[in-house]
Amino acid sequence: MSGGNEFNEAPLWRRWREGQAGAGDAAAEPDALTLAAYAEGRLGRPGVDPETDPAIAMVEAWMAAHPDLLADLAAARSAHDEIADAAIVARASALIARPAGNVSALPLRATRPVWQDAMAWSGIAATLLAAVLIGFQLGNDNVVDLSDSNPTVEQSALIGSPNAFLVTDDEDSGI
Amino acid sequence: MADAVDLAALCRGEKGTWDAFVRRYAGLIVSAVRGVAREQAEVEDLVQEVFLRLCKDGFRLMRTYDPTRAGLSTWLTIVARSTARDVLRRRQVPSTPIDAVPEALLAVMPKTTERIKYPDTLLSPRQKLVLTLIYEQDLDVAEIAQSLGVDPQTVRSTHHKAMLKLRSYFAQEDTQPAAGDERPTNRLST
Repeated sequence: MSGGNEFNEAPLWRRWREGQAGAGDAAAEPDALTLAAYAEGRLGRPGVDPETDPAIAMVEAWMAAHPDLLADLAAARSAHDEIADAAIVARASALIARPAGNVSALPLRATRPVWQDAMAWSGIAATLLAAVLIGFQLGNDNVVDLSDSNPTVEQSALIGSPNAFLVTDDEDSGI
Repeated sequence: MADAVDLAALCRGEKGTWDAFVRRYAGLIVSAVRGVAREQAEVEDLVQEVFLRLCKDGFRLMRTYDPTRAGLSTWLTIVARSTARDVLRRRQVPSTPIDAVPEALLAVMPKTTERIKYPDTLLSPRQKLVLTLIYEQDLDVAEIAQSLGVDPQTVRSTHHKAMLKLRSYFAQEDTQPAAGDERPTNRLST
């Protein structure tokens, strides 16, 4: 049933409306909380006629100029949940990041006794010292062997004569 | 429903509370936004805009919520639909480079104010609303009663009182023509 069927005074309303052009623009826009309170019937003071209560009058003046808001009120009264996609929930959750100060504490490593560290460093030092001594000893033995014995032809070729750089085949060298 | 969320912790930006709030109310906001969205594909973006609006500027909007005045679900539904409409309106606004606008259109025109012929206070806001819904939105009494949270008899009574006022006002006006009006005989004589 449409309003026109029950009420047939549209011409009177139109006449008044035409003379009211622009009048509704002055109505103040109620905030969401005021609209929500209106939707729940919690707006206005107890004992005051709803038609004359200023808070209710403000909402109704605004709605008279913006009747599409009625759909919001109807939706608010029948608010119901749907299943939201996981992607929607994840996106919205990501709007608030974890605070930077909240660092997750990792378990500390168990501390070793000092003597274990000392042993480890001593072992490294002893290994290095042994390597140096053995290397020196091997090199020294080789030098002694080569200088004390008569070198073979192959050894001479390998080592070379100590005075070779003074001997030359050039006959003019003595000039 | 507000009890399900610690509003103080939420407004402090506590991540865990925010996550719980999102999980609890995402479905409600999807439902609210779906009534405004033109296409299904828009819903996800609109829901994100609603959550963004709730938390931006240090939860400025969220801080305006007062559980003593209205339920959280009711408030969130209204915020969600309002936000969705704003976003869709912004997207619809056609953008034209200023160079492409003819210079004549950029000229500042003197603002013409329409004369309000009848007193705005003649009808109460509720009377105006009821008459608007009846004669412009074509709603029936039951729908109006449900929208306003009143009983149908109140709607009929409001309509009746409004019409009495209008009839009385116009009857008075019709018997007292405004000064300066030309008489019909003068117009016909020439």
